[in-house]
Amino acid sequence: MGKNIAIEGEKKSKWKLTWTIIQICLLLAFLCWSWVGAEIKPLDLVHDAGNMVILIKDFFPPDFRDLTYYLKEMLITLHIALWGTIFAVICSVPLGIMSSENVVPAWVYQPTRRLMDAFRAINEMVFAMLFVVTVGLGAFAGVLALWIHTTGVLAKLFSEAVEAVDPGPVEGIRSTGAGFIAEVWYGIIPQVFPLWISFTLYRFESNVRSATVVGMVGAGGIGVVLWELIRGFMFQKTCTVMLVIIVAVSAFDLLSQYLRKKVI
Amino acid sequence: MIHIQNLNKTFTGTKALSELSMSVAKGEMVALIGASGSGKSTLIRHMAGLVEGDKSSGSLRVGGELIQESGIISAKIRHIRRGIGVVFQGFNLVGRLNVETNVMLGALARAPLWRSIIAKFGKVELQLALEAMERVGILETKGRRASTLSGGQRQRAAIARALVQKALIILADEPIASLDPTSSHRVMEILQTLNRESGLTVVVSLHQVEYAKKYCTRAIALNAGKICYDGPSKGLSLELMKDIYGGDLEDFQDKPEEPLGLQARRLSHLPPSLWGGDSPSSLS
Repeated sequence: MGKNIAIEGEKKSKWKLTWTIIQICLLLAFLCWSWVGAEIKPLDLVHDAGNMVILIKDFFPPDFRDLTYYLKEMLITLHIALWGTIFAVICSVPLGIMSSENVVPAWVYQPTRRLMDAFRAINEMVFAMLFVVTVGLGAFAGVLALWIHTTGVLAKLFSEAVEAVDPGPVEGIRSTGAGFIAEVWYGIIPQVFPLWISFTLYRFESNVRSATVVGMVGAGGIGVVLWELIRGFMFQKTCTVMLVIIVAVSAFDLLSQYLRKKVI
Repeated sequence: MIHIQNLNKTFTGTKALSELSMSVAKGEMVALIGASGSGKSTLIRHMAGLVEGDKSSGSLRVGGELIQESGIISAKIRHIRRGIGVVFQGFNLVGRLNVETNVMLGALARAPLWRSIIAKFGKVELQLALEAMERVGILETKGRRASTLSGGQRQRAAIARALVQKALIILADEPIASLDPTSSHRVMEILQTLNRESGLTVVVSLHQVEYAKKYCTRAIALNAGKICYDGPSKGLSLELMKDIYGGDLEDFQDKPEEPLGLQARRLSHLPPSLWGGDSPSSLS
């Protein structure tokens, strides 16, 4: 009896090993396939190393002549990020609650979640291109693009926080005979508030980065400048703009880290 | 005050409550006792209209109002709940808000929406909250976050919330199960005072029989979702406790001559709450 069990155990472990090897082979095959698909040619980097050096040389020294103009445009980019985030937060609070299965019935959260999926699935750049067509070139198109995409992201993050709340306080409020809104306001919001703030600050950071990119399709701010300079092969000026972006983005990362620590 | 007819509840195949009928008169203080899983909490949650019974259930009325019938909760339940104060084992306070606000939340249902959103309930309600906190002895903690309070203080805050609610009935679901003996007695004393002096009807579920005997006049014992005893709490006999908790009868007998440690070790297979958590001999 004991022997049989031992043999069976051995067979099992052999089969397990084979299966693991098969899985590893499949994974390797998949990685090779995508390597070809992505046209990765490391040798080109070596071949064309000269080009790279020339390109990098073109960037230096940075040309600071139009710095004030770049700073002004960077400020517009920050304005875009700020308002894109503010509008998104305002919309994400109700939409986040409407996507939470512990608060609303399935016929509410299912359609809301699908709508948020759609908002999230499409990149800000694509939205920006569409809004440039509808509201014209300029910063407002950027705000709209960030607003929609960020709403999709934040509503999901907000609802995940709501779904993880302790049901106790909610039930406590409910048992006093309070209405649904009071239940959410006092039972749920205080519990998710620190997380919501943290998510919002994180998205604000990301939006500062995204706002520089949406500009490239004509949605205002430093992105427009960057795009024009690259297209005009004015690499020394491009270098200055990139430095401005790096400094601004890093500064906002630090600021939001500081705020997050303060609030939580 | 409470009238239950033929209440049934099934949780995925398990009968939690089975053809349960009972009544509680106005001004009574009733203990619900029974082992874990006997249906005490489920029964209290049904009375508060937080859970619905099976379709085969009859009616459940509290304070003359229909809470649920045939497994359908009344459409007016939010309105009816105003008169029912519920005290939970886990306190169910909002941890990040201060004690005063938590207690004031009892007034939520009476306040207009805009006032409740900005947490300005008016002077009358504030006075009510201060009195309630004073009454349960937590006035000095009013500015602290609820999450920083001890278990006993939190439970007293929860009772104060029910007082601000102006509830006529207090349903307490194992209010002392996670408290130390001193806090437990304090909470039970408060409930008893509210019952005696203010005439509130109190239904309290308890693990510990000795608390039921000490503070409640009437006891209802549940076993597997059925009532197995309903009468004066003094009438809870050893045989009955064996029936309810399914333990060895010997375990419930008091043996003062035996060293405490030994007895505690022998009792250790029972939930600590059964022997009061402090000393095993307190079960006598």
